Amino acid sequence: MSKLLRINTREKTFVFEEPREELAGLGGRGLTSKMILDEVPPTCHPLSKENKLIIASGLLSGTATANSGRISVGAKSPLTGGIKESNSGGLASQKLAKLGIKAIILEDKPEEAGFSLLIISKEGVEILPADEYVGLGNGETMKRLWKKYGKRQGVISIGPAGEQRLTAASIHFADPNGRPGRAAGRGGLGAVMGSKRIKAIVINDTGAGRIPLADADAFKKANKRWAEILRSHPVTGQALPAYGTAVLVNIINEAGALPTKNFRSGRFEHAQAISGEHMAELIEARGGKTKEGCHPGCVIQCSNVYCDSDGKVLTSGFEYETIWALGANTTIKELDDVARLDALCDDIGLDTIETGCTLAVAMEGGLIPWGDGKAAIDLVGKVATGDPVGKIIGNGAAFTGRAFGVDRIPVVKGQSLPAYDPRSVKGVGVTYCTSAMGADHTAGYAVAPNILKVGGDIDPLKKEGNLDVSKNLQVATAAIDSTGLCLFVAFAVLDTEDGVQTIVDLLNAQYGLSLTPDDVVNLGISILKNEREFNNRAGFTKADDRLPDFFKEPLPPHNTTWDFTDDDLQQVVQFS
Amino acid sequence: MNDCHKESCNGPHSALLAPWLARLASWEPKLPSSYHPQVMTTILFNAFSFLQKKLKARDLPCINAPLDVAEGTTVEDLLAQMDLSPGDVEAVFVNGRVRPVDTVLTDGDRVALVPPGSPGPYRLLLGMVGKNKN
Repeated sequence: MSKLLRINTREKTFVFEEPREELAGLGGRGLTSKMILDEVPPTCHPLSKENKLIIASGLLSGTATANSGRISVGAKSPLTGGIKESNSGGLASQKLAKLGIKAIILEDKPEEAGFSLLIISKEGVEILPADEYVGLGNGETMKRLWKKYGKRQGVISIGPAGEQRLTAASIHFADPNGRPGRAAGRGGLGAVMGSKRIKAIVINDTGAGRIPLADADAFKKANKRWAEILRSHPVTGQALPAYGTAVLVNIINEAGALPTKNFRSGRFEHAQAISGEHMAELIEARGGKTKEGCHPGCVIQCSNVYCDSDGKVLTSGFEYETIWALGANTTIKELDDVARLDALCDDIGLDTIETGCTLAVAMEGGLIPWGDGKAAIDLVGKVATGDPVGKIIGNGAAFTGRAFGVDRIPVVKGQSLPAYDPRSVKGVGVTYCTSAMGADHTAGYAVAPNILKVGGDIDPLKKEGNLDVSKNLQVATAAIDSTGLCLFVAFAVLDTEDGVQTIVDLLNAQYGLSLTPDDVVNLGISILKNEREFNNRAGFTKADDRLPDFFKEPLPPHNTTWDFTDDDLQQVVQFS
Repeated sequence: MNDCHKESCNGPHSALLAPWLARLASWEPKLPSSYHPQVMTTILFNAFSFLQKKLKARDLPCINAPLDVAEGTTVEDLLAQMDLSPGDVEAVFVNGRVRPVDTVLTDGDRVALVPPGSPGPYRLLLGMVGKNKN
């Protein structure tokens, strides 16, 4: 039975604990959200000793299941003041699971200055001074830790933004090349790790055995089918490896939903210059990689390595959301500048969506000109130096908007909106409003045919059907986030008759259970209820489930407006 | 400005102009009986993802490319003219909306072809799923 590893960051002690019965069957987001509801006072300050940072591997992580290396990080969010689960790839999830650790829980808070480094291995846990790494970016931190503790270790770290406890700070996970291109980006969880004064965690699974399987034959059979499903689907088998998630730039632009110039238009005239197709051409011409997995065992390979015109690596994990936030939304059209901004965010430890929206708000406030990539790079660089302007930027869009007197701030629950204008894709707008996480596109990402009781023909510009679709997507996503499976598997699951059943077969074979697809749906519902309950206790009301009023303005090219009422939206959060 | 305009319309000049205006309104050009105009419809054409590569390899412009098609051309006709099979295209945007393949293209339309493989729930949320079944 996997254990919980509790670390007291003030006393610098640790204890392994058997999970109590109601936690035993949970993993990933299901586990982090339940533990936060049970153990974190909902009214606490997110940077206080009462908050906990919980890092949990998924239920299937560490096994041979394809695409099961995702990890969930949970806490009360310093950005939203509500519950947060932020999800990442990288090496850590599988290694933790192999060590028999269900979750790491960082508790309490040191009184003295100075950061610590955690080394977790088969031998136990070491809590060491991290002085030599303090102030370093995530890139250099990971490089030095691999040099000292060996290549291919799992590393979880924060950069200068997390050290300063800024609310746009992310937590980074070493990818298979030791780069910090993978992040639990959203909600400012890097600030929580900074408040616990943990600079980095090294996870060494050397000597760890295989994960025990209740029925090895059934597992092998289900896993074979699982890999077939992923490999044979056009999204997971072809489009993502060729263009990455950036294939969406042109498509969302065409749909009139690519938020441009701080959500003023749904089309960006230079979309082609920042598109996945153009990015792939540049990668082919300059060197780099169009496909790369974010963790071993990934068969989708949506990640990439992007180089400058001299063939020098500029960034990795160059994603649609990032390219939109730092590109179309700021009207920066030079893909190399967008890549430099992405690399800066990864190194300093900033959420790219939050930072892109923040830059647009800073441009709105006249701090730097619209579309000026070089000025944006200088500005984001200031976050690393502790410059007061850098501290404003590192605290996200809402904070920056106040600092510069801006009235056009695209946030829900204090968190910046992602890359789909809610007026042109209304279903995702419903998710932005009603997710306990704040404006979050991944909260309603997964699709499963037996869960999705609505038909395929949704009109993205109308209200009809979009409340139901958002609700069903949120339930399915919460369940997938508990398994450690990458959300992108959902594309293939949508189109495959036995997709959900195969996931259930894997869980049953590993744990000796007899779950049905209905149990998975119920798991998803229970997670959403737990998260909602935490936020209710923290003082959130239906007034927090709104988009800013400027979304009532018509959005070109369709000139549609946001027209959901509070009561409409509350239907989504009612579960019988 | 409006008032002034209104006044002049009701003024003495309008009486003189009225017969001319009436004739102008009923004027029909008299063309020789041999004249058969080839009416063309010009669309703005895009193709994405794998289709961009495929069409580029055939020297067919597919990034913000003005394209002349015969009047009455449907989306389906356009695909056939480009030698694309139904399996090559999952969704067709006409003026930013996913439309069925029997949609007739009109002058000034913005048309974009999307092959199978759009990630995310956006295939569903944008109405791509099930649009062109059968």
